[in-house]
Amino acid sequence: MIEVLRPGLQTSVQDGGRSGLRHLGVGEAGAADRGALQLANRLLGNALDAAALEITLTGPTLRFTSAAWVALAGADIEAHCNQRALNGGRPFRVPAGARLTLGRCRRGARSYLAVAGGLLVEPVMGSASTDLGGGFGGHCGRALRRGDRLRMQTGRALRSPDWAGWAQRCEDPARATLPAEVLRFVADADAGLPADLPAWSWQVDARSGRKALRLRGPALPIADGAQRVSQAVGNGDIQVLPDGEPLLLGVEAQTVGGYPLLGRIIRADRDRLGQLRPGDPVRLLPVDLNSADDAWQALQAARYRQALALAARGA
Amino acid sequence: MPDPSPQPRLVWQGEDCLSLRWPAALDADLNQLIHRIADALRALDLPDLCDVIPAYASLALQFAPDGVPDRCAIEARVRPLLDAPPATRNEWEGPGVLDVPVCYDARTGPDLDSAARALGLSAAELVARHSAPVYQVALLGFAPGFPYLLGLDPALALPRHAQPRAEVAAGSVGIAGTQTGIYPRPSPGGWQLIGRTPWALFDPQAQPPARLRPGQRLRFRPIGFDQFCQLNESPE
Repeated sequence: MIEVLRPGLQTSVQDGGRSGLRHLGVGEAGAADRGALQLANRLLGNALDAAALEITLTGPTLRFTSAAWVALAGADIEAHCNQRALNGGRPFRVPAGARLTLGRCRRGARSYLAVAGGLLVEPVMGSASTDLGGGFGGHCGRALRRGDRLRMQTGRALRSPDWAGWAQRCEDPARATLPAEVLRFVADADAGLPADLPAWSWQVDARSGRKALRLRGPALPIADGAQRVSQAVGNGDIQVLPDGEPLLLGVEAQTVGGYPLLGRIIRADRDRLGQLRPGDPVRLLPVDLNSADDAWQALQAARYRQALALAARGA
Repeated sequence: MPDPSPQPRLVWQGEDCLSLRWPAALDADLNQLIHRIADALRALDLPDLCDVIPAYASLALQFAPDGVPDRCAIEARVRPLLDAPPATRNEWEGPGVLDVPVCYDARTGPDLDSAARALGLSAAELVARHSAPVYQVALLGFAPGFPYLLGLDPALALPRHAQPRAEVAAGSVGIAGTQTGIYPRPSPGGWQLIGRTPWALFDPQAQPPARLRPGQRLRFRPIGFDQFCQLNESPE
């Protein structure tokens, strides 16, 4: 059992999300940085999308009534277990009765705390994810509060691993050549892109969250006259608001929208949406479908190699 | 002889979603065609297809492969279906038109009287004209289970409130522009509220979780306030 002593800014139970229900107006929700969720789970030998805690900007203080193996991934976060400092990217054992104190996320917005076996919550529409906007799923359909108690599945005991290093997020090779603020996207067929779009720079606005990231900065041109009706949209879609500013849709975005679409962030870069903080710079780089495919395949291959290496170590 | 169905453009919305886009319009016949095509596409059982999402004049096929989608193969299976779409819905649609009970009353529709006045009608006339047509659920979106309905009498069009209400009761039936819809759960909203259905349109624990389906046809059946209270599935 995990007791919540301090909840943190926005801590919620998330898994890989609920897919296949957007035709009913139900979005995926789930981890905003799914790659980080999966890495935390991999470190513990969990199913990749097992339910974990998504921590936003400032983390919770938790008391573990029973011992558990846990792991952190995503943004680097201040972490102490009974006053002992901890690193993300490797499993560690929290003794029974211990207090786990998580502080601020550094260089990123979200961290994921996984427990061996995963968190135990009643699934709603096939998923343990919390849909914060909809008020269902996860723990009581909301972010954690002081006094909440969470149950854990029975976890397997890890072979006491000799963790000399720590596992880091995988990337595709092209990503390493790009500045951090650049997000790659596939342009929409109906979008008119300014020729120098990659040079345009915006800042993430404070009015951002799991639903969408508002960007403040130069106004994009909008083709006028076109009659517009609502169409299906999802995580990664880039809408152009009436004032010309881009809106990057997140995991809890509305499932339909009538604003013009600039394009969709490529799969290999979508997890980055979950790590952007208010004030961060953003630039948008259009790429073709082949580049998007290459990036995704390279990323998946890197993750697969990492999974093999972790399994060999005892995860 | 009916016109051949308009052909949509096939557009990849990102690398993982095939968007079929017809010319933008609020057209019940086109929207019905889209629902028939959606049914037929689901029946194709395309690999890694995880959702088929209809909208007014478009249909999105969302894929989620571990690798990359074979776009040519997908298009090769979708195009023949568009060239020869199914003529009628399969039995899945249900026995016909669904009667949705609605209490049109000042207690359940706080804008009923002002909306009627704005349209130069009595409240009774507004109710009669709102409950006369067969509506079509063009799509579900904006919120879980929220239906966008086609079929509103154009003479009943009303502007949204300049200042949205902070809270609209679950089941509220409203008009905004030329659209009419039903709020499945309490939320802020700017629509003109003329009544309320006692039905719960969305329940995450129910199977299926949404009471209405895309493509469903329905009529509003006026009921009295006492009956509304008896049937109310979302008591506050």
